[in-house]
Amino acid sequence: MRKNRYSNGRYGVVDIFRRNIWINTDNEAIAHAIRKTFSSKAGLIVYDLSIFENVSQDPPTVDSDCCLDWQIDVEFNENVTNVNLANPATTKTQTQHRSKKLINSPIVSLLTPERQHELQQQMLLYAHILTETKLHVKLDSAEIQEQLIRLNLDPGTDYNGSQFRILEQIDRIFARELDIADIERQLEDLANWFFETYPWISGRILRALDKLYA
Amino acid sequence: MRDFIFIHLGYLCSLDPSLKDTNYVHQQWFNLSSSLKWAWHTNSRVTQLETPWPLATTVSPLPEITNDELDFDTVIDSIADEFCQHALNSGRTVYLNWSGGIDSTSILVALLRVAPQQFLDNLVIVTDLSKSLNENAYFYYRFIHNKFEVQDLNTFEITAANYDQIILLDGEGGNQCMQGPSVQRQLYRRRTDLLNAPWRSLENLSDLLVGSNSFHHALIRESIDRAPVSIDTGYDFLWWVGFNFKFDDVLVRKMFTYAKNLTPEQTKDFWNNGLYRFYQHPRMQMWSMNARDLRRQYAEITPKYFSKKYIYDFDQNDFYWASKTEQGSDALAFAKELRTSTSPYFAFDDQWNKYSIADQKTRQLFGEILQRV
Repeated sequence: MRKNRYSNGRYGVVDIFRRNIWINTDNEAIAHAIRKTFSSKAGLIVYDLSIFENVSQDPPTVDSDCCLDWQIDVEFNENVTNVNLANPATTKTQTQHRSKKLINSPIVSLLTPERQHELQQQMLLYAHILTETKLHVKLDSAEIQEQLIRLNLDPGTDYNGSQFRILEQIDRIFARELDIADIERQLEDLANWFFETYPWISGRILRALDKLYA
Repeated sequence: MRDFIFIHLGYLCSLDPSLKDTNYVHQQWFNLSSSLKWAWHTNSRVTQLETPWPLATTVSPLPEITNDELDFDTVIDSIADEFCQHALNSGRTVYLNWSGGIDSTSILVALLRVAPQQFLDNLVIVTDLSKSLNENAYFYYRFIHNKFEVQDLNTFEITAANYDQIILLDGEGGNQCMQGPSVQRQLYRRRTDLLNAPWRSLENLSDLLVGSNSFHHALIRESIDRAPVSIDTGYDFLWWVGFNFKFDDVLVRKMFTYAKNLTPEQTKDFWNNGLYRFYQHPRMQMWSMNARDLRRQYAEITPKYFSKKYIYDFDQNDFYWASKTEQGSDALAFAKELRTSTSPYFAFDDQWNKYSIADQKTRQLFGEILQRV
């Protein structure tokens, strides 16, 4: 039985047209990584959910178990209605909204509830992969050296370069595949492929897939 | 002096912002761009605009309505079928500028559905993968990758050596036939009340066409009197604005890039024989005019319903069908030709002569036309 992953947090990844919350996470960088990687599956925008009066973090009002039942009200700000790769407004976390409350109601979607859940699970898996591997985090030189020493890697290793190459391939898998079973299978293949070269990253990917000891 | 088929008014304004000052005699033409998504170059396909500059008639006259076909799939399939025969008979290599967006994808789907293998074997896809994968990664990997020759849009050039050997397809005109971003904006705002209402009953047309002013309204009203179909609802109104006033703009604007290496004669030849737009085809335009009530009804389900449904029926990508929103046109990529300091061209006349702002005589000419001297 496939594991249902969980997430909560301040940063909501919101469907820009339907306005439902697909996933919320406490990591802003991961929220934006989801926004970019899933852009060919949905138009997405990141909101700081703390701006809404009816959202609390403790206990969480909105989490992955219920966020699909929450939506953001209509926004008239032209900056965020012009969905455009070149529009910087839609690439930043939104910290303002004319309405101070989220709407507790599921959206009307062309996706079945099962497929809405599928897309959400894909986003959750992606978030989990990034949390495990920190591949989305660009390390500075001191952090890189610390990491290389800790992992007993050659000091000359291009750590950020290797992260980028693997992350690029992970992003491609999530962008092009429609079903999570295919995503998981390809991620497992990717991790096994890179194991000799980048064992720590590959191991963490497999751990995220619950396949490290499989 | 020849008539102009394209003048980038936005480019001129960026060099001379005072063209928009209220005390400038021709400011109303330059302030048309205050309406979001208005054309860079304004022309009307049904009326002769009284512009300060000599304006050529439209490059794309409205077709006479000779059928009442309402099925989008039938229309685009028939255009693709006809095009394939034309292309095969011409002996030219076909290049499809695929952005990953809805319009260019619908064209590729049509070709994949109806084209003979001989045609598909020679089709080349031109794309910027750094952008198109953000639009539709699934479609690329499922239907294009390792199946077609792919060329990088950023290095693709039309030259004196190839302009008469190729046919270039792109999705321009799609927004104007489908509905346009002004409709999408109102859908996003959930203002279907504006879209469904008789536009004549609306107190403030600026609520409908955001950023518009009385000059916009006067031009639009005059053109509606000449429209070949009745323009009744707010949806019709917004669709008509794009279909009538922006069609020339979207068809011509990429020519600065397409024809940057060509002489005027070569440019004219390429325009007539080397460039093909499915959404400019008379049957597609007829569909657009005939099916406006259908499009309005289905727009609430998802913007660009018919072309998205056409794609979905082919590739079964329900995520794209359900949630994908329209991104900006890749015309932005071509706009760099207008905005970079290395590309001073901003106008074409009806003989396809390009006009450069770097040319002193051109500046003097426009100085006189615009009464800036």
